[in-house]
Amino acid sequence: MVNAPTIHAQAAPAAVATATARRVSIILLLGLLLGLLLSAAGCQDRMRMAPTHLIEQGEHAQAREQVMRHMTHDPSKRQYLLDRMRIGVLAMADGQPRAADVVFGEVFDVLRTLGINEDRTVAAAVFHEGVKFWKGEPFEQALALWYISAQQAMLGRWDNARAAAGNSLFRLHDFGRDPATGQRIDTAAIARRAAEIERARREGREVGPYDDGDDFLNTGYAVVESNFTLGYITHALASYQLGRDREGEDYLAAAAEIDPHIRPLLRELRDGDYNTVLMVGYGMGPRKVAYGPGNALARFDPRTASDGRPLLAAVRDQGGQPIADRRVAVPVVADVNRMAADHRWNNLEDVRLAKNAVGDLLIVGGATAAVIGADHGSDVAVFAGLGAMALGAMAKAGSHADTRFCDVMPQRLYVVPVKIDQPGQTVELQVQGLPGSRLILTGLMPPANGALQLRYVKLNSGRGSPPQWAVSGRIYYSNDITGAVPGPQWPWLLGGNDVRLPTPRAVEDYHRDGMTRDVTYVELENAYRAEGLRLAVEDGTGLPPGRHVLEGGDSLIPPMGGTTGFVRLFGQVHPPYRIQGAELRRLERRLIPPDRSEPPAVHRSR
Amino acid sequence: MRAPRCSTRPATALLLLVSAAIGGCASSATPRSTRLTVDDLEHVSREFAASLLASDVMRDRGPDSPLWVVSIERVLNLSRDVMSPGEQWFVMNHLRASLPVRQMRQEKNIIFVLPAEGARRAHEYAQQHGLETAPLAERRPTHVMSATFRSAVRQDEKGATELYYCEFEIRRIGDRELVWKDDVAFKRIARGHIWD
Repeated sequence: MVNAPTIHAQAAPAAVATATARRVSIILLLGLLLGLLLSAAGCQDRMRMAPTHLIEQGEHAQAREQVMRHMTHDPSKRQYLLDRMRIGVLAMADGQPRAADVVFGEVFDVLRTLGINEDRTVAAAVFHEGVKFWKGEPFEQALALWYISAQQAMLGRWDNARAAAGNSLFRLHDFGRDPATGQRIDTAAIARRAAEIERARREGREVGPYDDGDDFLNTGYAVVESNFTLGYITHALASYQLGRDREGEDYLAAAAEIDPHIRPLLRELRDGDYNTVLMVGYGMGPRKVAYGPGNALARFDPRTASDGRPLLAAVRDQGGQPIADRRVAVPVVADVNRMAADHRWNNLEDVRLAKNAVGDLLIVGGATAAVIGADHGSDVAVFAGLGAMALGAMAKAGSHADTRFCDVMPQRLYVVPVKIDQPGQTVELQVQGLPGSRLILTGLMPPANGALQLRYVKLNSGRGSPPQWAVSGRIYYSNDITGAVPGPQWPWLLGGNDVRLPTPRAVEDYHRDGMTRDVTYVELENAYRAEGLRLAVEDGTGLPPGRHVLEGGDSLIPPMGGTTGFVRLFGQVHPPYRIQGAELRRLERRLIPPDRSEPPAVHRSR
Repeated sequence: MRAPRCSTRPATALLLLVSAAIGGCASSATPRSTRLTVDDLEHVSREFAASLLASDVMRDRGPDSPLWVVSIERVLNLSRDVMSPGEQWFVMNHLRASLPVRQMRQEKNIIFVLPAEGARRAHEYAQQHGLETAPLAERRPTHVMSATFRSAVRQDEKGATELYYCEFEIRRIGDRELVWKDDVAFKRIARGHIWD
């Protein structure tokens, strides 16, 4: 008989050492794995913010250039649609609606596509919300669709404006009010309710008609009509332009039902004598931040406070004097802070993915199983435990809410109906009590054939006084929108003050004022192109142009009259142009004799 | 008893499991959008060309009938879709360029003309999609042909069905008498969650 106790006593120290080494190695491995995975929580893609200071000062072309410089061109990347949405909104703020055609076309296409994230839902739910393609919160989607509507309207495409506005009025999910407080329920309360249902289910208790938390999120709401007043108004305007008056009245009536305080404005839109509608944005929309356990929930914090201040508008004559009976004060029609804070306008994906409690439980359970498995020499138990822990740790890492958002939206929007019946009339705009927002809108012409014209105007929201260009009320350069300014006409690129595109009409003016007649508009256009200038939206890659040549860029494409971009560009004097290329330099030498330092027309005018 | 050696194979399997879960699986066959496609626009224009050729007003005409110069307007879009100007002109120009309609010039003494702006936009759209275009004729119009696209959608959590209704008509310039009218309807179905 083997002296078992002796043998066992001799074997015990080695077995204990082995088990201890095994446990230590497993724990080290667990620690390393947990550290790596949890550190991933801090390594999610960070969103590069658009330059807020530029946007607040009305430098939308510069802001757009910066966003375009860092945009992704890979449609599979989460940032793809967000980049295009931002570029489109900034193009609109700069008075370049045609330039936004391509990017907004993509945005509309994606927003109309169903189930984009359906194939990624499993991975996103378990691991990382960043796996999903960004489509924006519902309020961001509605605003994007509204921008597309405004863009189409600015281009006179009222049928498309109607379609896009209609798309912005999708139905919402309403989880109602908190029975305890009577206040509209917020996303945090929805998350708590879902978690309570989950716990009750685990504990075998009945809690209402829901199977689990997901069931509550998927069915515990009522479907309600949109309360996006601005969408109803824009749809109504488009309906009127298409001769569908009764449809227009229906949409204005819907807006009146939602926001009774704007009924005077709606009556003006229905009955008033106007031929121009200004859609005016002010401020910076709210910022998306993570909060709560493990930063799993998201909310939108205001960057520009909601204050309900009206917008003052006054039409001025060619002399700059206010025209009697053409002053209005209009209320806020869309408050983006309020929309973002309303659970009906959130997609609740952060709620669905708020797994910190579940993640914690998995981590604890996983570690326990791994250690027990190691103690009992069971590889299966070890790796099952490791697997569970990996899942739990990764779930914890992935439960951080994605805080990407469309950071170029305004905080509020106004609708201003005015009448422009003479060239040279301007419109003075200011948010009441905010002198930094003051803007004198130039470049508006009376619309042809009794049609309605629409303009999107983004006011400056910086502190202090407005920049001088915003309130000069002047147009310093001949341009393709308002035509020639008084005085001799000569290309600005060659020392004059004319930034019109090289058309036969423009070149005829140059000939009249001293340009040799053997220079044709074709030759001038070729010289401009050789200089690297962009002369049409269709030139290039489908992206909007960058800065205008007046601001040091390479575009000669003018903004639409009656926009912030037009005012900024033509309402101030810019430094003279420095010729870059040989062809334009040769043309300059041909046109300006060496014994003169100025072009003939400018010389003559002095 | 010797301590068992830890195998690397379960760890590899775990990594593969993780990778597969992250990668997910793609489904490529399910339609995801109810937007109009190039095929839809071609289908509509073909349908209307055939309908026009078979209509009573065409049956009564011959090569010696009074010349009709039919000016084409772009599609009026009353659907939920945003149609580019190129798409709106393409439908009409594709109809105009179809063989049955081209044959009307010889057999029925009818020509269809586009306004200059429409011809340019239709040409650009056709080039982008590798499609053929027809040359522009220049005559004083006697009639005008117009088209209207409408749509109605039914949506639920799992998908959407959109019914498109397209209406064409030809009216005489002056008294606006209706000489021909027809319509075609078709559905587009999309599957997927509206709320991703």
